Amino acid sequence: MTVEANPLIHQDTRLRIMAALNRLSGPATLDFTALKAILETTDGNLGTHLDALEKAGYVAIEKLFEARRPKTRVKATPSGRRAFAEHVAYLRSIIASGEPG
Amino acid sequence: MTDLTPADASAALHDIERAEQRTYRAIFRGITSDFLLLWGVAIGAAYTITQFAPRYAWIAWPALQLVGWALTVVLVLLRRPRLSAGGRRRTWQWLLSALAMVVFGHLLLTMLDPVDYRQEGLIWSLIFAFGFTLAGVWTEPALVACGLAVGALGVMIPVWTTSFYFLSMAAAWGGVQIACGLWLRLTGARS
Repeated sequence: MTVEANPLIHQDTRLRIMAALNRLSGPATLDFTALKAILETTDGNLGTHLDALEKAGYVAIEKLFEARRPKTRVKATPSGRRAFAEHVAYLRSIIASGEPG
Repeated sequence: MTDLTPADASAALHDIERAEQRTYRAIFRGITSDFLLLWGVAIGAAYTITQFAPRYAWIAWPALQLVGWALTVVLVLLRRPRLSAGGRRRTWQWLLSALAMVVFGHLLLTMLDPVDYRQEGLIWSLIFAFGFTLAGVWTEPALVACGLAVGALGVMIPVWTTSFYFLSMAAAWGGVQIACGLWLRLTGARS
């Protein structure tokens, strides 16, 4: 596994989005509203960061209607999980070495 | 990206851990809420039928329990894919623990041989109150409140009520479970 920083994931909100989605098993999704509550953030902030992660291919966003209400579901893609795991390994390596990375 | 210090890395890992915990809590509360609502409605319905149509009570209880357990298995199968491997394993452990509690209740009733339905209701509500409280101590404080409420009302209702005993039990036991389930659903990830 390559141990290096991922500047896209390291941003605070995006890091927490990836941590939350990575906690789910492979095919499982989280509703936008549930994710917003978990991260304690706003619609606009979450939407902006999800767009950035989607463009990088780290999350998949599904928009659908349930009982005539729009629903947005989000899940981590395999490449997103891999990138997140690499970034966590990088963070751990900095702590282990005691040197700035 | 500027160089990260060990302190920055440690803070980032702390954020990750907190986000993971809040995600697990949100999913756990959602799943627990489903079960509380399902069994709250089933128990409430069974007691209400016993109150207003006592001649059907003999069939209502086993039928509602059968439907309850069937839906419980369906819910487990539907909901557990959301959890990671450890969480999925624990879902079956929870289900088996609940089943063991019911078997224990039946064995206890056989041994104690209660003289009337009020004593029987008291024993069941105390068994479930104990189960909720224990589960709450390990996982979710709201379940402790639910357990204490079911236990306290289960003890008080046989003493206080006369003609509307079954309806009171429907409100106390079924109602408390439904209220607890709704509260967990509304609070979600909030700590």
